[in-house]
This record gives sequence, C-alpha cells and structure tokens, in this order.
Amino acid sequence: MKHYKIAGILIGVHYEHTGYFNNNIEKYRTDELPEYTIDVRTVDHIQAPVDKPSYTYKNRHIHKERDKEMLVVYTKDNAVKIQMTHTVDYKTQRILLHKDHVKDLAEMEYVLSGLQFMQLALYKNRLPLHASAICLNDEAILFAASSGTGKSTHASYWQKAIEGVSIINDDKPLIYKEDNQFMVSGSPWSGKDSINQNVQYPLKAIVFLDRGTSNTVFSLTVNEALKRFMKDAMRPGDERLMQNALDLIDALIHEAQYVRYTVTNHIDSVKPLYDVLYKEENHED
Amino acid sequence: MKIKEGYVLRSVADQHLVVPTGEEGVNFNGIITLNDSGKLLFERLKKGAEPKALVALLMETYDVSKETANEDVKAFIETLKSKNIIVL
Repeated sequence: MKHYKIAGILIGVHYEHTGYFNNNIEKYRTDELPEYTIDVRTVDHIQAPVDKPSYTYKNRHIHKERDKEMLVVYTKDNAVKIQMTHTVDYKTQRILLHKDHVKDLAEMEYVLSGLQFMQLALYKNRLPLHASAICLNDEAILFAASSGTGKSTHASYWQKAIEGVSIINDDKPLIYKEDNQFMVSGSPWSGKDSINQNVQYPLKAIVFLDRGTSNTVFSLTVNEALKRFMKDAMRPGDERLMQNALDLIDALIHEAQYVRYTVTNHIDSVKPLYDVLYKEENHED
Repeated sequence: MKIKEGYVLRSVADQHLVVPTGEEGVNFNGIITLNDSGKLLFERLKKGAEPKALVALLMETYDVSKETANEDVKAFIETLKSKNIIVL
C-alpha cells in the first residue's frame, strides 16, 4: 500500500486500476506513515452478510455495528456486487468490487474510493464542495454549481483570459480552516477528467454560478448563501459528519467572501467578476 | 414521544436547521427550519417528552398563556407527524 498526503491527511491507498489514478494520485505521494487507509480490491466472490441490515435503500443494505459500518450493494439476482466497510473512526476503509458484476471496475474504484475519502475528509473537518477551484495570485477562487451549469467551462475561460491561472480541483475541492484562515486543497478525486493539483491555497472567494443572459454579480443574503451551501456541499449520511459539515458552512457564511454570478457561456464573462473580486486591490494600485 | 434517531439540529447562519442523516436521510432529503420556540421543543423532544411537559416548557420560557402554549405544541407535533420524524 502506497502512502499519500492529501489535504494534510496521511492516508494509505491500495488501488488496482490505473485508468483514473495513473499520473493523478502519485503526485500526492509521501514518505510519512499513514493514519488512515483505503483498500480497494477486485474479487471473484463477496460473501453476503448473515445479519439483518440496519436499513435498506433500493438494492443497498446498510449494516451498522458498534465499531464499523458496512454498505452492501446487490445485483438483481441477489448476488453481492459491492461491499464498502469503514470503522467508526474511519481509520480503516475497505471496498470490495465483484469482477463480474461491476461493469466498469476502474471507474467504480475511482468513484467509490473518492466517496470514502470525502467522508474521511469531513471527519477531519474538510468540506468537499461541488465546485471547480482555480488558483490566481496564490489564492483560490471556487466556482460552485450543480452539474451541467458550466463551472468547468467558466474555470477554463479564466485560464484562457488570465495568465497564470491553474485548476486546483475541477469537481470537489476541500475547504478547511488552518491558522484562522480558510484554505482550499486539491485531491486526486476531481471528476471525470481527473484535473487536480497537490496544492493548498488561501480562499479568496466562493462564486455560486447560475446560467444567465448577462454577466452580473449579486451579493447573497445569509439565508440565500445557506441554501446555496446546503445544495453544493456534500451531504453525508453520518450524523457526526453532518455536524462537521454544518460547522464549516456556518463559519464560511460568517467569515468568507461569496457572491452569486449569473454567467453567459463566453470568455467575456471573466472580466465583470474579476473586477468585483479584485476591486479593492485595483483601487489601492 | 420522541424525535427519531438521525436528525441533526444545528444553528447555522442564525437559522435553526434540522437535517436528516442515515436512514432518515434516505427517506427525507429536505431540511426543516425552526424558529426559536420550535428549536426549544425539538431539543426537548430529542430526549423524549409528553405534550403536557412541552406546554409547561413554552409557558415557562415565553410567559404565554396555557391556551396559546397548547395550540403551539399541538401545531408543532402535527408538523412533526406529517413529516414522519416523531415516534409517539
């Protein structure tokens, strides 16, 4: 198992398919010993649990025990195709994928290990936000929106329009507090295109994107911001993780800079937002 | 009566939110917002309480008449019942 440091979290990851992880997770390698592990295996048999599940949802059975939780996903013929287990302290996480029942093993390995890592991230007080995060002048700007709104496209316009802009994470950057400021970190889990960097930068602003017919920046009331954060932040199933997520959202709402931006699908959409975000600095110049 | 397991009550940005997790999150994907008296009642119901005790709690905290407190508690419990988040 190789060792990685992702958003400051020391983790050992075992994966078997290189489709998504190759040239991606390796930039997070470290010599430091892991505190947590995610172990993904492709196997030819997964034993169904004998015990009754704590609750079920469609073809998913959730088994809660005192020291661990297990999610079992069944095929239509009642064979186990996926089993995900984690200890309650998230130290040990394990994923079993059935080689015949899972269609795209590489994709499933990437998606499910990402899901487990995001839970661990929340356990460690790092909030995954559905956003494309860019870096400009050693600060992070997050474009948050639902899938299909065009956050990656907008981020790519910033790259084209302004020299030196790079993508930190194109799908789920992690926000956390360190030394009294919000930081944004990349991770190897960054959507279908796997665009990410192993970097951490202070948060400049969160921009909630909506498609529009004009490029207009709106301020958000506290209640409007709350709705947007609740929509775009990861909503975990675990009560403790939800408390951590809400703590971070509360702090962001009170302390971070955020705006709503209706945006056209054109590179001209960069300048009006840039002017608002960097207005004070430009005045000082 | 008692609030079901899995509901997180947290004040965020001056709003009192009730967010479902676990099995309840699967059944109900929304968020409930409460006012101050709703928060007070919800916190008591998390531990378990009968309507009589809730009425007394409202009267004691907000200096309202028994009649008003009765109506408020009845309406609050009906709301929780309609959202299926309370065990009688």
